[in-house]
Amino acid sequence: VRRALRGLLVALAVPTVVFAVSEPVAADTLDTGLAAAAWYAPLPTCGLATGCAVDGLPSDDQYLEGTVHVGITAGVEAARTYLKLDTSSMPAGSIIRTAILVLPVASSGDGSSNASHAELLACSAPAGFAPSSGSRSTPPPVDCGVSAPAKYASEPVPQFTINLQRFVDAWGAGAPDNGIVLMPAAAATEAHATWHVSFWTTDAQGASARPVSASISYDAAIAPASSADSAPGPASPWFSIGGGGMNVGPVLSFPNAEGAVDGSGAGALLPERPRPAQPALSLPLTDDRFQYPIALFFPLLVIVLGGYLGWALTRSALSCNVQDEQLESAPPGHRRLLQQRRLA
Amino acid sequence: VTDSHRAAASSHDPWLASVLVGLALAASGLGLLGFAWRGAARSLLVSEQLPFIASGAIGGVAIVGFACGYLAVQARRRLEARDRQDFERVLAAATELLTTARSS
Repeated sequence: VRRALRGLLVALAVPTVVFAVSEPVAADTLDTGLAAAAWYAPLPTCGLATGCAVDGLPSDDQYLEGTVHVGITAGVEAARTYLKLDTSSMPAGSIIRTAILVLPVASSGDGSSNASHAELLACSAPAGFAPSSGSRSTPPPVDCGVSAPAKYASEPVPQFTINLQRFVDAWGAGAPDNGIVLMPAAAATEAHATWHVSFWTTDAQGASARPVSASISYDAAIAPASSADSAPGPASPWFSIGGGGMNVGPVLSFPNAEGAVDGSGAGALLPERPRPAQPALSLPLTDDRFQYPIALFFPLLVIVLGGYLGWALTRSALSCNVQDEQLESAPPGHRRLLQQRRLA
Repeated sequence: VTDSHRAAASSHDPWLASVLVGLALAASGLGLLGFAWRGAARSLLVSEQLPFIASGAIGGVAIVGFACGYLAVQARRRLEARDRQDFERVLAAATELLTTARSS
């Protein structure tokens, strides 16, 4: 019986150890586009100490529809872009791990020039933004407290990539996600640089269009139910685990940044899309994405441990050799009593 | 009872093994406390800290407390078993003395 019990314990311990050392299920990835995009072409006077003196001018319409722009002319910002990622296909309650923004550069015919020397900086739009295409009015406020630089790569296709990990950490710490701003970096202003980069939005037409996209890895906290009412809704709120806390970038002061408000509606929040009904809370016990499978073996471990402790508490507290010595030294009449007690 | 049997028996002392299991249980409880502390400290969100506190810290304290109680019970059982063993020796000696006295 002992051998059978030992074999049973070993047979149960092996899968437990295998599950214990196995890696948690990898996070899901989502390649998504933009939920909203806007770009502004502030007047050169906005760079002066007097600020944007003129509002209400017609928009800059020299570029194709479905493109957004970031540019600088002789160190003066000429165009700025506001983006919001489309996370509507993520299950509610998802936990974002990483996010990479990919910005393929449009051709020179679509407005790009000297793109390889462009220095872009991603900041956040604390007050959101309204749809706009080349508006001359004052852009919505920008907060570069959390920022990330863009990296340019000419191969295989010219494109910028931005690691949004700092933004993910900030969203996880409770900062609202009202949009990401792409603007010339402070170094470009100081160097009096001149360049212009165009990006395609999700609405861009044409075979050559490669829209802005983002690669997001996330953990779905709750598996959606399979009923018709359980269509995935917007991921709100966003949380992130790990990463070592929020990284705060340098605070840059740009013209019209932080607090500039005009009467054109810029800075207003996007109208919130209606949210579908959320699925009822369900534990994904049968889902293969259960993150820590060893949790399934905890009841088994508790039973085995409880059985062993119960056995140990009802055995003799003396070692076997002490009992043997006692049995050996006892007189014949008492030895029989000890043997009976030991067998019991 | 041979010497080899005694040596094998001492190496398979069930009481010693149970004490080692109790110590391992206490160590795992302390480890769970450390894990809970680390998990709660790496986030500023209360909603992320609560699961670590509720499951990790309370569970760790419970396991450590249970292990300490179990070890105390085992230690007391050991002491009382030794007392009983001494009493058995005295009883055996008295029985032998009485037998000798009767035979003489």
